[in-house]
Amino acid sequence: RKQVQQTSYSTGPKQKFRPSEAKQIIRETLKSKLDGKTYPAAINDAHSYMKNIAEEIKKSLRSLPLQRYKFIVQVIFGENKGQGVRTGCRCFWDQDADNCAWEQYQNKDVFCMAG
Amino acid sequence: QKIEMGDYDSLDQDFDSQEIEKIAHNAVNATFSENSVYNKDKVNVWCNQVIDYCIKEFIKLRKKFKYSVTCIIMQRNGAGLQTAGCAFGDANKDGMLSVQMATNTFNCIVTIFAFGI
Repeated sequence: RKQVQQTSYSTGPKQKFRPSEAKQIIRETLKSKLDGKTYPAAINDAHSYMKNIAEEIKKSLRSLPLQRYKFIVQVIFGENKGQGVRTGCRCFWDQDADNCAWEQYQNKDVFCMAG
Repeated sequence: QKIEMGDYDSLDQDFDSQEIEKIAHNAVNATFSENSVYNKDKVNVWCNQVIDYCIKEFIKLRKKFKYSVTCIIMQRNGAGLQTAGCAFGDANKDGMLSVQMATNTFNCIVTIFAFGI
């Protein structure tokens, strides 16, 4: 009889990252932070808005029960003035374990994308 | 030539920001020049070109990293644009950098994250 030896280390994540959960978190954070806000006139305010949003999203993601995952959060925040914008993102990673979630928010003065 | 476990020395594991920055600059310069005009039909193609070039060159480096590349092209309209990125990972093995380029009609920002495996 063949003896199957089980490895003591795991080669994949025990619980996978679910993009739908992350999208929900991002959507709620963006809505709560940006509802009714306009693009700030001072650059420092814009900096702190965004840093705030990015940190909030990162904190909420860390509260998910995911072990051994690293996170990237990127926030793009701009004034809504009828200009054209094109954003693209490509990643080189392990398709089984890794995933991404992007959400966008728009009101009449600002647009924001976070992922 | 067989590659053994010991062949990957610590130099391969470092995030070489200069090399990555050079590749990103090359990608942007290869896709559009200082005189390019924002064209809503071409913007799709440009964005894809920049990112494809970057990712292909990173893979050619054959380092043990996972990459994430984002490219934003925005028309210059007097509107403000800000980008922020933060990462939760291993500060020794991971890295992030951003390359900006502007023409008369649009701005381009390329952000690259690299995670050491």
